[in-house]
Amino acid sequence: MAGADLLAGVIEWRGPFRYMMTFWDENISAPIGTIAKFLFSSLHWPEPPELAVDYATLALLLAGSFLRMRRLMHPVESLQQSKRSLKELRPAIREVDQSKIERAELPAGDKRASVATPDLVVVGPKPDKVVLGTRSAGAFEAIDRAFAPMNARSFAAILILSTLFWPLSALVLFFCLTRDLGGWIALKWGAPTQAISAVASRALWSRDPELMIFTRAQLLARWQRFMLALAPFLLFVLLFVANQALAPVPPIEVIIAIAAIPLAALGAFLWSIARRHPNDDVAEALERAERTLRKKPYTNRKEPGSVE
Amino acid sequence: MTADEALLREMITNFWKLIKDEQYQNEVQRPLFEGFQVTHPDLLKRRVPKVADLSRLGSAEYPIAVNGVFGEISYLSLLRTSRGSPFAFHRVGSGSGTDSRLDVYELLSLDLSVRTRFHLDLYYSARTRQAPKGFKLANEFLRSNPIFGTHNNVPDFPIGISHAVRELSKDVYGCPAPVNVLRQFEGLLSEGG
Repeated sequence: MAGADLLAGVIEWRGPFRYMMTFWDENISAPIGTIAKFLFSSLHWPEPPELAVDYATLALLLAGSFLRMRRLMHPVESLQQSKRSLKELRPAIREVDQSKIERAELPAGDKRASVATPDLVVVGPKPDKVVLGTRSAGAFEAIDRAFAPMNARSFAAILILSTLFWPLSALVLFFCLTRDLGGWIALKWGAPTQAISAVASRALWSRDPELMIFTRAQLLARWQRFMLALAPFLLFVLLFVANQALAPVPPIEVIIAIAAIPLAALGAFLWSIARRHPNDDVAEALERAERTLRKKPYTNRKEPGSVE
Repeated sequence: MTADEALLREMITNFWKLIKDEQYQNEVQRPLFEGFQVTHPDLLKRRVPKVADLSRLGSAEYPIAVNGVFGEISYLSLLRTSRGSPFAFHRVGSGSGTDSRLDVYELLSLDLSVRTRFHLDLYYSARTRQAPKGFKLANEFLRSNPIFGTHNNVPDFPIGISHAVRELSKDVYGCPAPVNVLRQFEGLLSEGG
Protein backbone atom coordinates (compact mmCIF):
# COMPACT_ATOMS: atom_id res chain seq x y z
CA MET A 1 0.00 0.00 0.00
CA ALA A 2 2.83 2.33 0.89
CA GLY A 3 4.52 1.52 -2.44
CA ALA A 4 1.28 2.21 -4.32
CA ASP A 5 0.88 5.48 -2.41
CA LEU A 6 4.39 6.58 -3.36
CA LEU A 7 3.84 5.63 -6.99
CA ALA A 8 0.52 7.48 -7.04
CA GLY A 9 2.28 10.55 -5.66
CA VAL A 10 4.95 10.40 -8.35
CA ILE A 11 2.28 10.12 -11.06
CA GLU A 12 0.13 12.88 -9.54
CA TRP A 13 3.05 15.32 -9.30
CA ARG A 14 4.50 14.32 -12.65
CA GLY A 15 7.90 13.06 -11.56
CA PRO A 16 9.82 12.16 -8.39
CA PHE A 17 11.41 15.60 -7.96
CA ARG A 18 8.16 17.54 -7.85
CA TYR A 19 6.72 14.86 -5.58
CA MET A 20 9.70 15.24 -3.27
CA MET A 21 9.24 19.00 -3.22
CA THR A 22 5.64 18.68 -2.05
CA PHE A 23 6.06 15.61 0.14
CA TRP A 24 6.59 17.57 3.36
CA ASP A 25 3.49 19.73 2.89
CA GLU A 26 1.23 16.95 1.75
CA ASN A 27 2.24 14.04 3.91
CA ILE A 28 3.89 15.46 7.02
CA SER A 29 3.01 19.10 7.66
CA ALA A 30 -0.69 18.77 6.83
CA PRO A 31 -1.54 15.76 9.05
CA ILE A 32 0.60 16.95 11.97
CA GLY A 33 -0.81 20.46 11.56
CA THR A 34 -4.33 19.02 11.81
CA ILE A 35 -3.42 17.21 15.04
CA ALA A 36 -1.77 20.34 16.45
CA LYS A 37 -4.80 22.48 15.56
CA PHE A 38 -7.09 19.98 17.24
CA LEU A 39 -4.96 19.89 20.38
CA PHE A 40 -4.65 23.67 20.54
CA SER A 41 -8.35 24.31 19.93
CA SER A 42 -9.30 21.78 22.60
CA LEU A 43 -7.19 23.80 25.02
CA HIS A 44 -8.73 27.05 23.69
CA TRP A 45 -5.37 28.28 22.50
CA PRO A 46 -4.85 30.22 19.25
CA GLU A 47 -3.90 28.24 16.17
CA PRO A 48 -0.11 27.60 15.99
CA PRO A 49 1.74 29.01 12.96
CA GLU A 50 2.74 26.46 10.32
CA LEU A 51 6.43 27.16 10.80
CA ALA A 52 6.20 26.36 14.53
CA VAL A 53 4.45 23.08 13.75
CA ASP A 54 7.15 22.20 11.22
CA TYR A 55 9.87 23.03 13.71
CA ALA A 56 8.23 20.87 16.40
CA THR A 57 7.86 18.05 13.87
CA LEU A 58 11.57 18.17 13.05
CA ALA A 59 12.38 18.14 16.77
CA LEU A 60 10.14 15.10 17.21
CA LEU A 61 11.87 13.34 14.33
CA LEU A 62 15.29 14.14 15.77
CA ALA A 63 14.27 12.77 19.17
CA GLY A 64 12.93 9.70 17.36
CA SER A 65 16.27 9.18 15.67
CA PHE A 66 17.97 9.23 19.07
CA LEU A 67 15.56 6.54 20.20
CA ARG A 68 16.39 4.54 17.11
CA MET A 69 20.07 4.94 17.84
CA ARG A 70 19.58 3.50 21.30
CA ARG A 71 17.66 0.56 19.94
CA LEU A 72 20.34 -0.11 17.35
CA MET A 73 23.20 0.08 19.80
CA HIS A 74 21.95 -1.08 23.13
CA PRO A 75 20.92 -4.69 22.78
CA VAL A 76 24.00 -5.54 20.77
CA GLU A 77 26.64 -7.54 22.53
CA SER A 78 29.33 -5.24 21.14
CA LEU A 79 28.46 -2.51 23.60
CA GLN A 80 29.14 -4.78 26.53
CA GLN A 81 32.31 -5.96 24.83
CA SER A 82 33.35 -2.38 24.23
CA LYS A 83 32.80 -1.63 27.91
CA ARG A 84 34.98 -4.60 28.78
CA SER A 85 37.76 -3.48 26.48
CA LEU A 86 37.50 0.00 27.94
CA LYS A 87 37.98 -1.50 31.38
CA GLU A 88 41.01 -3.42 30.18
CA LEU A 89 42.49 -0.34 28.56
CA ARG A 90 42.17 1.87 31.62
CA PRO A 91 44.85 0.24 33.83
CA ALA A 92 47.18 0.14 30.83
CA ILE A 93 46.69 3.87 30.32
CA ARG A 94 47.45 4.45 33.99
CA GLU A 95 50.64 2.40 33.71
CA VAL A 96 52.08 4.76 31.13
CA ASP A 97 55.01 6.75 32.41
CA GLN A 98 53.57 10.04 33.64
CA SER A 99 56.77 11.94 32.93
CA LYS A 100 56.46 11.00 29.27
CA ILE A 101 52.92 12.36 29.22
CA GLU A 102 54.04 15.62 30.77
CA ARG A 103 56.78 15.87 28.19
CA ALA A 104 54.31 15.22 25.42
CA GLU A 105 52.06 17.93 26.76
CA LEU A 106 54.77 20.54 26.52
CA PRO A 107 54.57 22.32 24.24
CA ALA A 108 52.28 19.99 22.32
CA GLY A 109 49.82 20.18 25.21
CA ASP A 110 49.70 23.91 24.77
CA LYS A 111 49.06 23.73 21.07
CA ARG A 112 45.67 22.88 19.77
CA ALA A 113 47.58 20.51 17.53
CA SER A 114 45.06 18.15 16.10
CA VAL A 115 41.56 18.23 17.36
CA ALA A 116 39.31 15.78 15.66
CA THR A 117 35.74 14.68 16.15
CA PRO A 118 36.10 11.69 18.45
CA ASP A 119 33.73 9.45 16.53
CA LEU A 120 35.36 10.25 13.23
CA VAL A 121 38.93 9.58 14.22
CA VAL A 122 38.35 5.88 14.74
CA VAL A 123 38.47 5.43 10.98
CA GLY A 124 41.97 6.93 11.02
CA PRO A 125 44.84 4.50 10.62
CA LYS A 126 46.90 5.65 13.60
CA PRO A 127 46.67 3.62 16.81
CA ASP A 128 46.65 6.68 19.03
CA LYS A 129 43.26 7.58 17.59
CA VAL A 130 41.88 4.37 19.05
CA VAL A 131 42.65 5.51 22.57
CA LEU A 132 41.18 8.90 21.79
CA GLY A 133 38.06 7.19 20.47
CA THR A 134 37.93 4.89 23.48
CA ARG A 135 38.12 7.82 25.82
CA SER A 136 35.26 9.49 24.00
CA ALA A 137 33.40 6.18 24.14
CA GLY A 138 33.75 6.46 27.91
CA ALA A 139 31.94 9.79 27.79
CA PHE A 140 29.33 8.22 25.54
CA GLU A 141 28.77 5.43 28.06
CA ALA A 142 28.18 8.02 30.77
CA ILE A 143 25.49 9.71 28.68
CA ASP A 144 24.08 6.32 27.84
CA ARG A 145 23.79 5.44 31.52
CA ALA A 146 22.00 8.72 32.24
CA PHE A 147 19.28 7.76 29.77
CA ALA A 148 19.43 4.05 30.58
CA PRO A 149 15.80 3.54 31.55
CA MET A 150 14.24 4.71 28.28
CA ASN A 151 10.97 5.79 29.84
CA ALA A 152 8.66 8.71 29.19
CA ARG A 153 10.78 11.04 31.29
CA SER A 154 14.04 10.43 29.45
CA PHE A 155 12.23 10.64 26.10
CA ALA A 156 10.75 13.96 27.18
CA ALA A 157 14.26 15.16 28.08
CA ILE A 158 15.56 14.19 24.64
CA LEU A 159 12.55 15.85 23.00
CA ILE A 160 13.14 19.09 24.93
CA LEU A 161 16.84 19.06 23.98
CA SER A 162 15.91 18.47 20.33
CA THR A 163 13.39 21.33 20.46
CA LEU A 164 16.05 23.57 21.95
CA PHE A 165 18.36 22.87 19.02
CA TRP A 166 17.88 26.32 17.49
CA PRO A 167 18.35 28.39 20.69
CA LEU A 168 21.27 26.16 21.64
CA SER A 169 22.85 26.91 18.25
CA ALA A 170 22.36 30.60 18.91
CA LEU A 171 24.07 30.20 22.30
CA VAL A 172 26.99 28.31 20.73
CA LEU A 173 27.32 31.06 18.14
CA PHE A 174 27.30 33.72 20.86
CA PHE A 175 29.95 32.01 22.99
CA CYS A 176 32.14 31.18 19.98
CA LEU A 177 32.19 34.82 18.95
CA THR A 178 32.55 36.37 22.40
CA ARG A 179 34.35 33.78 24.51
CA ASP A 180 36.23 31.56 22.02
CA LEU A 181 34.23 28.46 22.99
CA GLY A 182 35.89 26.24 20.37
CA GLY A 183 39.35 27.27 21.49
CA TRP A 184 38.44 26.61 25.10
CA ILE A 185 37.17 23.12 24.31
CA ALA A 186 40.21 22.42 22.14
CA LEU A 187 42.62 23.47 24.88
CA LYS A 188 40.80 21.94 27.82
CA TRP A 189 39.77 18.71 26.20
CA GLY A 190 41.39 18.24 22.81
CA ALA A 191 45.05 18.89 23.42
CA PRO A 192 45.49 17.01 26.73
CA THR A 193 43.47 14.07 25.42
CA GLN A 194 45.58 14.01 22.30
CA ALA A 195 48.81 14.17 24.29
CA ILE A 196 47.82 11.39 26.68
CA SER A 197 46.43 9.18 23.97
CA ALA A 198 49.50 9.58 21.78
CA VAL A 199 51.74 8.28 24.56
CA ALA A 200 49.37 5.69 25.96
CA SER A 201 48.49 4.12 22.64
CA ARG A 202 52.11 3.54 21.71
CA ALA A 203 52.46 1.46 24.85
CA LEU A 204 49.14 -0.30 24.30
CA TRP A 205 49.74 -1.06 20.68
CA SER A 206 52.94 -2.95 21.43
CA ARG A 207 51.37 -4.65 24.44
CA ASP A 208 48.07 -5.89 23.09
CA PRO A 209 47.56 -5.27 19.36
CA GLU A 210 44.58 -7.61 19.15
CA LEU A 211 42.67 -5.65 21.75
CA MET A 212 43.49 -2.44 19.89
CA ILE A 213 42.22 -3.83 16.59
CA PHE A 214 39.08 -5.13 18.26
CA THR A 215 38.35 -1.82 19.99
CA ARG A 216 38.88 0.02 16.75
CA ALA A 217 36.40 -2.24 14.99
CA GLN A 218 33.86 -1.73 17.78
CA LEU A 219 34.15 2.03 17.57
CA LEU A 220 33.79 1.95 13.81
CA ALA A 221 30.64 -0.17 14.16
CA ARG A 222 29.25 2.33 16.64
CA TRP A 223 29.85 5.20 14.24
CA GLN A 224 28.14 3.30 11.43
CA ARG A 225 25.10 2.61 13.60
CA PHE A 226 24.95 6.23 14.65
CA MET A 227 24.79 7.30 11.00
CA LEU A 228 22.23 4.60 10.27
CA ALA A 229 19.99 5.93 13.02
CA LEU A 230 20.39 9.53 11.93
CA ALA A 231 19.91 8.94 8.19
CA PRO A 232 16.07 9.02 8.18
CA PHE A 233 16.08 12.29 10.06
CA LEU A 234 18.51 13.80 7.55
CA LEU A 235 16.18 12.62 4.78
CA PHE A 236 13.26 14.43 6.44
CA VAL A 237 15.37 17.58 6.76
CA LEU A 238 16.08 17.33 3.04
CA LEU A 239 12.37 16.99 2.31
CA PHE A 240 11.61 19.98 4.54
CA VAL A 241 14.21 22.17 2.87
CA ALA A 242 13.12 21.09 -0.62
CA ASN A 243 9.54 21.94 0.26
CA GLN A 244 10.36 25.32 1.76
CA ALA A 245 12.43 26.29 -1.26
CA LEU A 246 9.31 26.22 -3.42
CA ALA A 247 6.66 27.37 -1.00
CA PRO A 248 5.67 31.03 -1.27
CA VAL A 249 4.77 31.09 2.46
CA PRO A 250 6.77 31.15 4.70
CA PRO A 251 9.28 33.28 2.80
CA ILE A 252 12.68 31.89 2.06
CA GLU A 253 14.25 34.52 4.34
CA VAL A 254 12.64 32.84 7.34
CA ILE A 255 14.10 29.50 6.36
CA ILE A 256 17.50 31.07 5.75
CA ALA A 257 17.31 32.70 9.17
CA ILE A 258 16.47 29.37 10.78
CA ALA A 259 19.19 27.50 8.90
CA ALA A 260 21.66 30.41 9.12
CA ILE A 261 21.97 30.33 12.90
CA PRO A 262 22.94 26.64 13.21
CA LEU A 263 25.20 26.91 10.15
CA ALA A 264 26.84 30.09 11.47
CA ALA A 265 27.24 28.39 14.86
CA LEU A 266 28.96 25.45 13.21
CA GLY A 267 31.19 27.81 11.20
CA ALA A 268 32.07 29.93 14.22
CA PHE A 269 32.81 26.80 16.24
CA LEU A 270 35.16 25.42 13.59
CA TRP A 271 36.73 28.84 13.13
CA SER A 272 37.37 29.28 16.85
CA ILE A 273 39.06 25.87 16.92
CA ALA A 274 41.13 26.46 13.83
CA ARG A 275 42.19 30.07 14.30
CA ARG A 276 45.72 30.76 15.40
CA HIS A 277 46.15 30.82 19.14
CA PRO A 278 48.81 32.70 21.18
CA ASN A 279 50.06 29.31 22.41
CA ASP A 280 51.03 28.45 18.85
CA ASP A 281 53.28 31.53 18.76
CA VAL A 282 55.03 30.45 21.95
CA ALA A 283 55.54 26.89 20.74
CA GLU A 284 57.03 28.22 17.50
CA ALA A 285 59.28 30.65 19.38
CA LEU A 286 60.70 27.75 21.38
CA GLU A 287 61.19 25.74 18.20
CA ARG A 288 63.09 28.67 16.65
CA ALA A 289 65.23 28.93 19.79
CA GLU A 290 65.98 25.22 19.55
CA ARG A 291 67.07 25.58 15.93
CA THR A 292 69.27 28.57 16.81
CA LEU A 293 70.87 26.69 19.69
CA ARG A 294 71.57 23.69 17.47
CA LYS A 295 73.64 25.94 15.22
CA LYS A 296 75.32 27.83 18.03
CA PRO A 297 75.30 26.85 21.72
CA TYR A 298 74.04 29.49 24.11
CA THR A 299 76.48 31.78 25.86
CA ASN A 300 75.16 34.38 28.22
CA ARG A 301 76.04 37.31 25.99
CA LYS A 302 75.03 40.64 27.48
CA GLU A 303 75.27 42.95 24.51
CA PRO A 304 71.85 44.21 23.42
CA GLY A 305 70.61 42.72 20.17
CA SER A 306 68.57 44.42 17.54
CA VAL A 307 64.90 44.16 16.89
CA GLU A 308 64.25 41.84 14.00
CA MET B 1 33.62 21.75 48.20
CA THR B 2 36.04 21.45 51.11
CA ALA B 3 37.56 24.46 52.85
CA ASP B 4 40.93 23.75 51.17
CA GLU B 5 39.36 23.67 47.73
CA ALA B 6 37.51 26.90 48.40
CA LEU B 7 40.73 28.55 49.55
CA LEU B 8 42.60 27.31 46.49
CA ARG B 9 39.85 28.55 44.20
CA GLU B 10 39.91 31.95 45.88
CA MET B 11 43.69 32.15 45.53
CA ILE B 12 43.55 31.37 41.83
CA THR B 13 40.72 33.85 41.22
CA ASN B 14 42.62 36.52 43.09
CA PHE B 15 45.78 35.74 41.13
CA TRP B 16 44.09 36.25 37.76
CA LYS B 17 42.35 39.38 38.96
CA LEU B 18 45.67 40.77 40.13
CA ILE B 19 47.24 40.12 36.74
CA LYS B 20 44.42 41.43 34.58
CA ASP B 21 42.47 44.07 36.48
CA GLU B 22 44.19 47.47 36.61
CA GLN B 23 41.72 48.88 39.15
CA TYR B 24 42.33 45.97 41.48
CA GLN B 25 46.09 46.28 41.01
CA ASN B 26 45.86 49.93 42.06
CA GLU B 27 43.77 49.04 45.10
CA VAL B 28 46.29 46.43 46.25
CA GLN B 29 49.29 48.69 45.74
CA ARG B 30 47.59 51.76 47.21
CA PRO B 31 50.00 51.99 50.20
CA LEU B 32 52.86 52.08 47.72
CA PHE B 33 51.09 54.73 45.65
CA GLU B 34 50.37 56.79 48.74
CA GLY B 35 54.08 56.70 49.48
CA PHE B 36 54.76 58.00 45.96
CA GLN B 37 52.28 60.79 46.45
CA VAL B 38 54.20 62.14 49.41
CA THR B 39 57.38 62.52 47.39
CA HIS B 40 55.79 63.11 43.97
CA PRO B 41 52.36 64.71 44.64
CA ASP B 42 51.39 65.30 41.01
CA LEU B 43 52.75 62.16 39.42
CA LEU B 44 49.73 59.90 39.82
CA LYS B 45 47.37 62.47 38.30
CA ARG B 46 49.22 62.30 35.01
CA ARG B 47 47.48 60.89 31.96
CA VAL B 48 49.20 58.09 30.06
CA PRO B 49 50.94 59.88 27.18
CA LYS B 50 50.42 58.85 23.58
CA VAL B 51 53.87 58.58 22.04
CA ALA B 52 53.98 59.50 18.35
CA ASP B 53 57.41 58.07 17.57
CA LEU B 54 57.08 54.46 18.70
CA SER B 55 60.69 53.67 17.81
CA ARG B 56 61.68 55.77 20.85
CA LEU B 57 59.13 54.29 23.25
CA GLY B 58 61.01 52.55 26.05
CA SER B 59 64.00 54.89 25.98
CA ALA B 60 64.89 57.09 28.98
CA GLU B 61 63.24 60.10 27.21
CA TYR B 62 60.04 58.22 26.42
CA PRO B 63 59.63 55.60 29.13
CA ILE B 64 56.76 53.13 29.00
CA ALA B 65 53.94 54.29 31.30
CA VAL B 66 52.59 51.64 33.66
CA ASN B 67 50.68 51.45 36.95
CA GLY B 68 53.17 50.38 39.59
CA VAL B 69 55.05 47.10 39.82
CA PHE B 70 51.97 45.07 38.88
CA GLY B 71 51.63 47.18 35.77
CA GLU B 72 55.27 46.58 34.85
CA ILE B 73 54.92 42.82 35.11
CA SER B 74 51.58 42.70 33.29
CA TYR B 75 52.83 44.94 30.47
CA LEU B 76 56.08 43.08 29.89
CA SER B 77 54.36 39.69 30.15
CA LEU B 78 52.04 40.73 27.32
CA LEU B 79 54.82 42.14 25.15
CA ARG B 80 55.69 40.07 22.06
CA THR B 81 58.08 40.28 19.14
CA SER B 82 56.57 40.90 15.73
CA ARG B 83 56.48 37.11 15.27
CA GLY B 84 54.61 36.61 18.54
CA SER B 85 57.43 35.39 20.79
CA PRO B 86 57.12 36.47 24.44
CA PHE B 87 60.04 37.87 26.45
CA ALA B 88 61.76 36.67 29.58
CA PHE B 89 62.63 39.78 31.60
CA HIS B 90 64.13 41.01 34.85
CA ARG B 91 64.90 44.39 36.38
CA VAL B 92 68.51 45.43 35.97
CA GLY B 93 68.15 48.57 38.07
CA SER B 94 66.62 52.00 38.37
CA GLY B 95 67.42 55.08 36.34
CA SER B 96 69.95 57.50 37.74
CA GLY B 97 69.82 61.24 38.55
CA THR B 98 66.58 62.97 37.57
CA ASP B 99 65.28 59.71 36.13
CA SER B 100 65.52 57.84 39.41
CA ARG B 101 61.83 57.04 39.21
CA LEU B 102 62.39 54.93 36.10
CA ASP B 103 62.96 51.19 36.21
CA VAL B 104 65.23 49.56 33.64
CA TYR B 105 64.36 46.08 32.46
CA GLU B 106 66.37 43.66 30.36
CA LEU B 107 64.35 41.52 27.94
CA LEU B 108 65.28 38.43 25.96
CA SER B 109 62.79 36.96 23.50
CA LEU B 110 62.16 33.25 23.90
CA ASP B 111 63.16 32.64 20.29
CA LEU B 112 66.50 34.36 21.09
CA SER B 113 66.05 36.85 18.25
CA VAL B 114 65.81 40.01 20.40
CA ARG B 115 67.74 41.10 23.48
CA THR B 116 67.07 44.67 24.60
CA ARG B 117 66.45 47.04 27.51
CA PHE B 118 63.45 49.23 28.23
CA HIS B 119 62.80 52.08 30.65
CA LEU B 120 59.48 51.94 32.46
CA ASP B 121 57.79 54.69 34.46
CA LEU B 122 55.58 53.14 37.12
CA TYR B 123 54.05 56.34 38.47
CA TYR B 124 50.77 56.14 36.56
CA SER B 125 47.38 54.78 37.49
CA ALA B 126 47.02 52.93 34.17
CA ARG B 127 49.32 51.18 31.73
CA THR B 128 49.83 52.23 28.15
CA ARG B 129 48.29 50.23 25.30
CA GLN B 130 51.11 51.19 22.93
CA ALA B 131 54.04 48.91 22.09
CA PRO B 132 57.48 50.01 20.87
CA LYS B 133 58.12 49.75 17.13
CA GLY B 134 58.80 46.15 16.10
CA PHE B 135 56.89 44.80 19.11
CA LYS B 136 53.24 44.08 19.78
CA LEU B 137 51.01 43.49 22.78
CA ALA B 138 49.12 40.21 23.16
CA ASN B 139 45.40 40.38 23.92
CA GLU B 140 45.47 37.80 26.65
CA PHE B 141 47.80 36.24 29.17
CA LEU B 142 49.05 32.76 28.47
CA ARG B 143 47.22 30.27 30.71
CA SER B 144 50.21 27.93 30.90
CA ASN B 145 52.63 30.74 31.73
CA PRO B 146 51.03 34.09 32.59
CA ILE B 147 54.13 35.84 33.99
CA PHE B 148 57.40 35.90 32.06
CA GLY B 149 59.67 37.89 34.36
CA THR B 150 60.31 39.53 37.66
CA HIS B 151 60.87 43.00 39.10
CA ASN B 152 63.91 41.62 40.94
CA ASN B 153 67.38 41.29 39.49
CA VAL B 154 68.39 37.83 38.27
CA PRO B 155 72.22 37.77 38.24
CA ASP B 156 72.63 35.02 35.59
CA PHE B 157 69.61 36.08 33.54
CA PRO B 158 68.03 34.23 31.75
CA ILE B 159 69.28 31.27 33.78
CA GLY B 160 67.18 31.13 36.95
CA ILE B 161 64.30 33.15 35.55
CA SER B 162 61.66 30.43 35.98
CA HIS B 163 62.58 30.01 39.65
CA ALA B 164 62.54 33.79 40.16
CA VAL B 165 59.09 34.08 38.57
CA ARG B 166 57.78 31.23 40.68
CA GLU B 167 59.02 32.94 43.84
CA LEU B 168 57.64 36.30 42.74
CA SER B 169 54.22 34.85 42.06
CA LYS B 170 54.16 33.18 45.47
CA ASP B 171 55.36 36.26 47.36
CA VAL B 172 53.57 39.03 45.49
CA TYR B 173 50.57 37.37 43.82
CA GLY B 174 49.89 34.89 46.64
CA CYS B 175 49.75 31.87 44.35
CA PRO B 176 52.42 29.83 42.54
CA ALA B 177 51.88 30.65 38.88
CA PRO B 178 52.58 28.02 36.21
CA VAL B 179 55.96 28.61 34.54
CA ASN B 180 55.89 25.74 32.03
CA VAL B 181 57.14 27.76 29.08
CA LEU B 182 59.97 29.44 31.00
CA ARG B 183 61.10 26.08 32.35
CA GLN B 184 61.20 24.65 28.89
CA PHE B 185 63.07 27.71 27.66
CA GLU B 186 65.69 27.33 30.38
CA GLY B 187 65.92 23.62 29.64
CA LEU B 188 66.73 24.43 26.01
CA LEU B 189 69.44 26.88 27.06
CA SER B 190 71.12 24.43 29.40
CA GLU B 191 70.93 21.62 26.80
CA GLY B 192 72.32 23.85 24.07
CA GLY B 193 74.87 25.61 26.28
